[in-house]
Amino acid sequence: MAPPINCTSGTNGDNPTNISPLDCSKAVRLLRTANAQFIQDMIEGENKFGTAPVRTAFFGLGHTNLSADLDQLLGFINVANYANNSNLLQAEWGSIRNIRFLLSSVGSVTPNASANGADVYNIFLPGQESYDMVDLDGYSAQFIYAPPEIASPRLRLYQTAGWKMAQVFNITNTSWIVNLRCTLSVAI
Amino acid sequence: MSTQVVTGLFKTTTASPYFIPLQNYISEIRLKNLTRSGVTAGGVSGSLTSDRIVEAFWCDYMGQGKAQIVQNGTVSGILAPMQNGVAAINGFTIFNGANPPVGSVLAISSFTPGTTTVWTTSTNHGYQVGDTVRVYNLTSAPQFGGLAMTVTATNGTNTFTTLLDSTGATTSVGSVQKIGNYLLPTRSLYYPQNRVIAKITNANPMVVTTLVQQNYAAGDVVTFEMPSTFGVPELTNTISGLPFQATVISANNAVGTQTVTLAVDSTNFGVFATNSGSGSNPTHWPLASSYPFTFPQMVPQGEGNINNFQSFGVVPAPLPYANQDVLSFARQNLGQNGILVGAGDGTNSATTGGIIGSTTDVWEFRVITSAQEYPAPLNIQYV
Repeated sequence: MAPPINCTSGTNGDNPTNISPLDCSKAVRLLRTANAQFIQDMIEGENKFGTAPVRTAFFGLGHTNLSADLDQLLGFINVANYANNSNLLQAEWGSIRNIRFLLSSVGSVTPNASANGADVYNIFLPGQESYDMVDLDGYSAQFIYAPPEIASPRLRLYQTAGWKMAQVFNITNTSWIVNLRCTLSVAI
Repeated sequence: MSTQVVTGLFKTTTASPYFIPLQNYISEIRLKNLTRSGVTAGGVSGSLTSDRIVEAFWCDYMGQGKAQIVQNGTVSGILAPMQNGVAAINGFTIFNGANPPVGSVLAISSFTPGTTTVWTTSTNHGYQVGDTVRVYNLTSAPQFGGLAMTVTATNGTNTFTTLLDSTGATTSVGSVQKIGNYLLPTRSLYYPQNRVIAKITNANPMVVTTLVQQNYAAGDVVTFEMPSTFGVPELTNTISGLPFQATVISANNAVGTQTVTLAVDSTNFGVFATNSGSGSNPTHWPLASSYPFTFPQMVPQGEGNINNFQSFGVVPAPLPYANQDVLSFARQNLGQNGILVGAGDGTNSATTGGIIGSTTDVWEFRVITSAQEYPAPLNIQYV
């Protein structure tokens, strides 16, 4: 598992605290000192109103519940304010310091795990080649649907749908990936 | 429509919970204590015994930790009357790897600071040695908030002990919740698991104690996440970024011991929980003024070999190269189900009860899974 570090510079009085720009800087410092390589190139500034350059960055993989907290951060750049939007990912929410956040509703949350019993949100910051995937040839994720004619041929009452896969993920270097843990300051 | 997925025997020798790993959805389990019913099985002589649970049943309409039981009455000759009832505590806990069970939230009324910590709950907690609990909302001791710990002892009612060294802390009210048991698969379904460090010895070799029971083996390699609040700067590298790695040369994974011995001479290292702030509390957990902080963790890295640790008294094995193949950090990454059978005194006592008792017993179990319930729950016909 990725080594966890708690956000401690937020203001909500919990442990971990809510995310702050300083916590982002500390996480990036930890990765860079470990010689982890950035994932994304920088986006140069352009002469467009309301836009800003974006630094070379690690991806921060987190839960969509973090979006409101991220919007509150001083210096946060929403994707709408990137100088160039040609290489955006659908899940990208924005950027601060050297982190570009990708949010998903299936992002990692540890329930009731903070000092005050709040849910803890795990933001994974992988550097290049920090993890890899072993994928058996021809056995990656398959979605299998059986219509009623096949699943229950006599009365055709049921249909089935399922998936199977044979993949293994492996952390190759625990120094090149960090789990930045935080709680929320903006209540859900 | 249902399918019996597995049946079999298992043997218990102490009043410890027993975990039956499965991969199917579990609709129903039936359990018989053959030995205490007078049946000789599995190499253990039968002995019809008074006042012991001899049958237990659970289905998925029942709550976690419950069991419908049959308990022997007083034996008369070769017969014992059957008494029906419900186990109030330490029945069956059904484990679903995708949605692990958690216990209800209990109030902590106080704790007794010391080299180990004794926690007192406002009501009977029902915890057993080996349970994993998380404490939080500790208003006067926030530095412990969020810690997950293995229960190492209980009084059977309202106190339990963990390996947290809380010497110097102020007692506090708070909350506690059971989040697992050392026998259950981990929530993440992935290995390795990080472990929060309870204490570190300054010795050769270095010994690390963890708050939660672990499963290390000789040859495993670990690194450390050691925030400055916790001292011991030698275990991290803030300049070059090259991780400090250490090889495990022995481990005592028993609940209540939870130590890992590493091929490291830490005699001259910094002292655990020593820092320049007012929260410094050498060899113990930092004081409240250090809060908030990141917990110190041991991070499994992989596996190495034990070729070069003769100076620590480690004989390379297997010879000639002592390359380890323990892979103790790895496992099949499958979603898992399973059943944890609770333990106690083998009766349905509301305070000390539990299905498994302290005698050597052989059990027969049957597990049944139902047809999948779609498009809406069906009237399932059990066998």
